[in-house]
Amino acid sequence: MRQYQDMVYSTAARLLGDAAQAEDIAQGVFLKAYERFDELRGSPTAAGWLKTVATNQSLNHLSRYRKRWQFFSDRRRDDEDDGADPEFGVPDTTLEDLDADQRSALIEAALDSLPSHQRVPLVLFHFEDMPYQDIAERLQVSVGKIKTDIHRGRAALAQLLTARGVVVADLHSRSEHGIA
Amino acid sequence: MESPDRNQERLAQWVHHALRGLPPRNAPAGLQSRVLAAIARRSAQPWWEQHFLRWPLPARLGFLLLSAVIARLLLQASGWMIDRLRELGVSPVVATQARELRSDWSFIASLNDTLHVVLNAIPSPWLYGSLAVIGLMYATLFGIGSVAYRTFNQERS
Repeated sequence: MRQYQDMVYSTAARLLGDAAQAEDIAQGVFLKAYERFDELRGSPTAAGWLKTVATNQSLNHLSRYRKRWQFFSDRRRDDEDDGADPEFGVPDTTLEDLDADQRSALIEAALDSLPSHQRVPLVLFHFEDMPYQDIAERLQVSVGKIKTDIHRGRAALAQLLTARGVVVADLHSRSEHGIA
Repeated sequence: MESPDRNQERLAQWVHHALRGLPPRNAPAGLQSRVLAAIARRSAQPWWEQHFLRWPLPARLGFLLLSAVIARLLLQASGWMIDRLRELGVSPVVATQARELRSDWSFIASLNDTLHVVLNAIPSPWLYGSLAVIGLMYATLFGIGSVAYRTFNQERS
């Protein structure tokens, strides 16, 4: 369990954007794994199984507890950002005094602060490598909406990070050199 | 100045690298002890409080048999009750449906017909009025719930 707990918790926390709920989901995943302990012990697919179960349980949790409120909450947010695409400009200055841990913490915090209709497809696309079509089917929305939400999610993430002092151009150049 | 497509492409690349470069989040220190405590609690539960699939096989078979017997008894009891109603002078059509329900195994069709007869016997204003009241109560509760959610949950987040 010690080997996989960070991976399982990260998967749930990034999808849910909530530490307490992620801990509950992680606990559920490991209890499920305990029931299949004989199958999973020493299996090379154990990590993949745990990640898949964590993803599915997180998405089920979101749909179970939030679906009925979407009409009153997320829908309002959708209406608010239905206008033109947000502007995204790459700043031309750099900030050198942030270390890797600080940058990671800022990026995670910015990700958590995105609305769920942007964060969830963004996480599934970039962390789970799911194609647009699969995300749309899993979330039961159109492919067009998924593409729009992911694009707006990226732009919102960049804006949030720029506002918090993480310079996008700086991170981009670092990532190209395998630093970020 | 870069084209919007090129800008979006750069943004997508940057986000991908930034997110994929993140280390896993550290699980809370108490997670492992929570899981172990939950496993211990679960193991300490008697079998009848555990999930049905974890019951011993004889107990599962016994439960299914008992359920079938109870269902049969309930059907017989409902037949007996309808017979008593017939004796009290309730519509003979209902009594006929009840006899079919008892004697024939096509419960679902008989039940459906019986329901139709019963629904037809209820005056329309009562039926529609009841449905309207139920709908109104549901809408009211849903509205109160959504207002409470927006007030307490969204303000907190």
